[in-house]
Amino acid sequence: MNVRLTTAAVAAVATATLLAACASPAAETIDESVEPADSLTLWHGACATPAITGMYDAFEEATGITLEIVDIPCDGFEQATTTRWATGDRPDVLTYHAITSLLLPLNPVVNMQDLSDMDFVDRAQSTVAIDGVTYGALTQFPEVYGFYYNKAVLEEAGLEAPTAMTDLLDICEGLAGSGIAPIFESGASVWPTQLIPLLYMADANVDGALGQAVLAKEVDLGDPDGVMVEGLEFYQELVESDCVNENATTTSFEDSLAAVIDGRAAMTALHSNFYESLVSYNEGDREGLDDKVGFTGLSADSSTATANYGPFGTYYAPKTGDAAKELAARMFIEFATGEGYQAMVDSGPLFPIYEGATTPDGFSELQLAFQAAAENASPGVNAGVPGFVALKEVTSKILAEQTTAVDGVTELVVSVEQAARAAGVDGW
Amino acid sequence: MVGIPTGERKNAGRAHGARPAGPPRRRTILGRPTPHLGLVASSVDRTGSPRRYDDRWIRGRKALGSAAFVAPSVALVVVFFVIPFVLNLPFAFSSWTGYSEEIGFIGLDNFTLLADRGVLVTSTVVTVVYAVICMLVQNIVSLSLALSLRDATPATTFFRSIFFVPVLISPLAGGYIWRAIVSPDGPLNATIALGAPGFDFAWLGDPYWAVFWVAFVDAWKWCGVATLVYIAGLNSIPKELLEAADIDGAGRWRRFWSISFPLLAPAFTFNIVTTLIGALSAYDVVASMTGGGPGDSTTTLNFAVVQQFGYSFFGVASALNFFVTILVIVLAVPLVMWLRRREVAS
Repeated sequence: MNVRLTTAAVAAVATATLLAACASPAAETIDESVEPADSLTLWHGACATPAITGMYDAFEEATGITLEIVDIPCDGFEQATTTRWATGDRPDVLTYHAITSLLLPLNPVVNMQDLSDMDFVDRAQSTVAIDGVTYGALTQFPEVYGFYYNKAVLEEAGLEAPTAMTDLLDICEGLAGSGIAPIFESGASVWPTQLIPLLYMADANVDGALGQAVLAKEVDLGDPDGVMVEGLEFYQELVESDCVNENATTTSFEDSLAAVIDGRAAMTALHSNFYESLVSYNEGDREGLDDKVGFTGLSADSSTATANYGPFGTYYAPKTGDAAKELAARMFIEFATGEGYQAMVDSGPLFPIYEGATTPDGFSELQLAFQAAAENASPGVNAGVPGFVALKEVTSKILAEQTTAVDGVTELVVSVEQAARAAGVDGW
Repeated sequence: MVGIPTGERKNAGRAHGARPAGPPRRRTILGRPTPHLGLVASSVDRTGSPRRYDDRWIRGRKALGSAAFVAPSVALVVVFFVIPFVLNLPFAFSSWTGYSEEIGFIGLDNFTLLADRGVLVTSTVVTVVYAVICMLVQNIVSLSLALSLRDATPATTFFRSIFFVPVLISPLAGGYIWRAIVSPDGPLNATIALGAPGFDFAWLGDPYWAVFWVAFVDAWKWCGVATLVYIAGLNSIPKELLEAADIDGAGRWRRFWSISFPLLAPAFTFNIVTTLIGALSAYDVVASMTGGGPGDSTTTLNFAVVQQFGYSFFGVASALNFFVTILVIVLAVPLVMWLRRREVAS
């Protein structure tokens, strides 16, 4: 794997080194005399893949520990999790994002068990770490963000797959009047609307450089000539040029997957973890899906993809005060990253991210395209900069033609300042 | 033994005619004075002679009796509204977030932040517009239904039940059902397309119309309650008045405006206030139908509260909560006062 893909670690450390207010947690010790609990509560993303849920079954069989799985809906996953978390409710095992901008609101330094002494840390290509302390275990290949495109639609219109953002405008022009939406946007799901401006910045954020510069206040996010405003202006141009589907404000990301498969839309911006959903929409036909749909990374001037480790298959062991449950939670993480890992990778098939695990056969063309895009990927700017959650609100308003790029970026800057101050980032 | 009211005693023997100065004349039923129950009482002491209790003791006893009735309501309001509000108040001015354990006093920073992000103005406008639409639709439709279903017949009883069904449905479920109905490929567009082929409209997709449709669904949800209140109000109007007006040649419209409408004042007060305040607290229907969108066009204040809470900015969410409370007080108190004055005038 390319070094750029250590997104979580890079982003986490980049932010963590700038944290001034976070107190160092006291060293944690595990009471070896405690017997593990016989059941665990697991907050789980409802749209996790069968490979992940299969691992849950294997864990129960191997250890005799029952998993009480609490489904968190995937639409609004972050808000559903944080709202529940804010009430003081704690699972024994938490499935959540690896990127620091979304993790910091859970105050991991205080609320999560320190997993640094566990076996998986040395074998992992990346972990979720803050200030050198590991709080989370990754099990899945990074989510690679880019464009899914319908091969036949582009070919019939005499168009090539895009290799840079500017190509999107040519594709829009080429499909004008065809009745096919050049780009399918999902305003009802809100979060996908932020992807095009986010991907636009991938060229500028190689190795997380832009995010670190923003945190260090070397780059002004609100600079009218800056790449953030450029990305938002580009998105605004796409919307105003009717490059997006009709009724884009009321469609969901599920609609966008179906539209690209059916040929009602030429492209949609999403991430690689929707592969299984695509297969499902294509009635389980993986080969047929390869014939229909392609995938490419895209940035302002190149096909550089954006990659972040995703929430599904990323595990934390919150401090619950129950030593037996805490021990069992660590056993779950040890299983997911050790004994049960290879079987999960094989059943995907998934690209392994642990030393010693072997890469299975049987990847589809589309999955290999994800891997190829990941080799040249930058982390998302949102990964390391707190407060980027507001980007989706801004882009939703641009999609609804309620605001402009310039006004929208002002709102985003206020949100980043708010979160950076709350997180105790030095200089904010 | 019920004592003779003092006022009656003083006026005993006076000739009928101009009312003398003194205590207000008591109401009578069929020419007989109504008994002064509880105001003055007499008893018999151990010697067998009548003895009047002290007025203050009686008033105190009456107040105690009233307090016993009021106490449960007061306790509920104190426990579930006053205490949470008071406890929440300091957090509105604090830096409380999920990011840190530290909570400090930051003055008005949370409100400034909300203003800078445009949340305060936008969400207030959305909330007030939403509440006014909801209140108007709900009351106009409910009053119309009440006038149609006023008489208790098997048919009206059936329809009263039908129109009450939405009240029993969960607001979230109702929102999701309507979201499916009005979606571009939903049954509403399909039905319209039968008469207008190719009809395609995203009812919830337009930032200016979305708030209207969501408010409309909220009104639909609660119309049943307001209808029952109006039916009760209409049935409390003496039929003799309406019959007399009918004999005098007043048409239906005139009878409604001159008799029913003024005498429905208490029902109007209740329905207008409850629908408006209810709509100012809108969240569930909004969350299920639009998720606050398109953009922020249906992001009500309560929806914004949940958003900020979800982002772990608890102090900011508390500030918004405080603002909602103030908004409700500022809008509701003058409205209630005006409606109560209107009741008296009617």
